[in-house]
Amino acid sequence: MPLPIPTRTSGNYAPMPVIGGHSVPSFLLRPATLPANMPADDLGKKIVTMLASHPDIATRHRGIDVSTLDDSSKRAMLDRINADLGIRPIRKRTLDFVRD
Amino acid sequence: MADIPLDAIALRDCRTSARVQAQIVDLTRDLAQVYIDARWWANLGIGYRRRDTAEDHHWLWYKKVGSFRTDHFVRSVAVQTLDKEIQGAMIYHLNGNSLLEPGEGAVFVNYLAAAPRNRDQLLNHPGRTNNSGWVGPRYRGVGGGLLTLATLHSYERGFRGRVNLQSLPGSEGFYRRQNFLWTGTEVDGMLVYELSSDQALSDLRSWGFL
Repeated sequence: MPLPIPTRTSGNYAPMPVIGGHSVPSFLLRPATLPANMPADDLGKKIVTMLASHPDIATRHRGIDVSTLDDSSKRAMLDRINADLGIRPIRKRTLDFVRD
Repeated sequence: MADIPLDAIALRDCRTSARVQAQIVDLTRDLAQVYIDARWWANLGIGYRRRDTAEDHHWLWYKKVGSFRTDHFVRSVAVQTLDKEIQGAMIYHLNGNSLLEPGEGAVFVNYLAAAPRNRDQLLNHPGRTNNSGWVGPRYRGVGGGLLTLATLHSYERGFRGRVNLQSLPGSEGFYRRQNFLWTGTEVDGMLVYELSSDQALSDLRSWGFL
């Protein structure tokens, strides 16, 4: 059940899509520890940051130094992580309608 | 673009009603300095008083982008049209906390802005003039496109599409229209909104991403 929202309006105009400029309270962000030997490539970084975001999944891959894996091993590891998290491949990479 | 799950979005050109495609690009400090900080607030045809009603008119995006450039959980992106102009920008974190589903992760949108030339609230008022004679916003769909990217990235990171943000008071209607829910949390006068996983997954399915 959505909570009732305090009434604040933006006048007669469409509200502006602008946010930011204020400090972010700590409860909105998770502190995450990353390994000292961070991989240099995007795929390796993605795996390491995903494991840091999902500690339960990370325990299944404990002891693996991602920075030492070759590309195909990294892809296989990411596939396993995605399967564990129920992530399916995204079917397209373009938003083809105007989301106003 | 590596790691970013969306390449392009559709915008509506308000002058012609035509649909145009805009690219999602990495927002670098150079791009921010040249195409946002130096251009967004120039030649808008509005006075200082009206400009000052926009909460972001003093932002320097190149500094914001620079301050996060070594953070592995932060992405800075922009919407760029064929003429190279930046129509909107967003900085978001991949290590957010969900407030609607405590214990779960979310993408947290820290900064998001459509270019001032695309904002009704700034432009649609009597007395505004500019060189082209057009007095309304230039493009529609920038904010919604950027939120779609945040939702997709949240899904791709295993957060089931959850996205949250602290809305400035003048923007709340926009996020409510995008199906964000108030989480019941208010910080320094700003309400924290979140796109629930159910809503996000339903949206991504109906839009053909899943």
